[in-house]
Amino acid sequence: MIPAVLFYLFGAGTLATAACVVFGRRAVESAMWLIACFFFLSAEFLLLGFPFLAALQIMVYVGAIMVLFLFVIMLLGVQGVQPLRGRTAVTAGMVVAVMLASLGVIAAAGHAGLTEQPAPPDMDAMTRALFTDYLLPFELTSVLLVAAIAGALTLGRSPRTPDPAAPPEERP
Amino acid sequence: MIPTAHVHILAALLFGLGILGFLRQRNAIMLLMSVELMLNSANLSFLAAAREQGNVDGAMMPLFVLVVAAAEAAVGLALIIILFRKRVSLDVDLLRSLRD
Repeated sequence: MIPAVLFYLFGAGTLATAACVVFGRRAVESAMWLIACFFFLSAEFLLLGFPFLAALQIMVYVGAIMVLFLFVIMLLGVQGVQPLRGRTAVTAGMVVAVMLASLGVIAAAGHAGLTEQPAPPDMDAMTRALFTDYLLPFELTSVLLVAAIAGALTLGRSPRTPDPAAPPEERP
Repeated sequence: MIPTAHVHILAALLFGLGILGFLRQRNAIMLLMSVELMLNSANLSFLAAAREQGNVDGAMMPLFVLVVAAAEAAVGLALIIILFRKRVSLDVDLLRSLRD
């Protein structure tokens, strides 16, 4: 009973903070609300029975990705992340309304509800699957991460600073 | 007990908020943050399905989504820095050099 109540409570928190992200006036505020949203989502993962993913959610999303976002926001300064005037929200709202309506129909038609309490897979089965069935994708993620790091470094290097190893340029 | 359909509805609402932000905002950083919201709603849906089926496959997907989100954030933010250097603005509506 208590997990169900907590689930709806944290669900409301997730949606409220996500709304604050979307309708935020400043990029820094939105980033802070997004961090709060990730904490609520992590609590949801915990309630669903996935403590490992809840911990990863906080460590990777809050600890790495959002810190990166905040770094860039502060690097670009205030004039870089000015609150821009939003587009006409009517079209966006209509698209979202249609999509949500269709999703609601699918959700209502698909599942009448379960009779017994569903059991999430335990940690043992998850780690076993990660290093057997999912070994190849798991190893490929490391390649992806290296490629992303190399790409980010190449893109982020300032073109104005000359390479110290290169011979000095001839100026006319 | 938490009905699976309610988890899916929560994920759908979260995805809707993310796509609303993506369509509404013009700031490139806000666009990336909306994408993160959408990725997380997909994770929530995967976990709800995994819990209902008692299946590890659904629980594996969020791990990979996490990695892809990290890679996407790194490259995307590097692109945003380049954009800011060249244009001194993060307004995606000003990016028309590829049009026509």
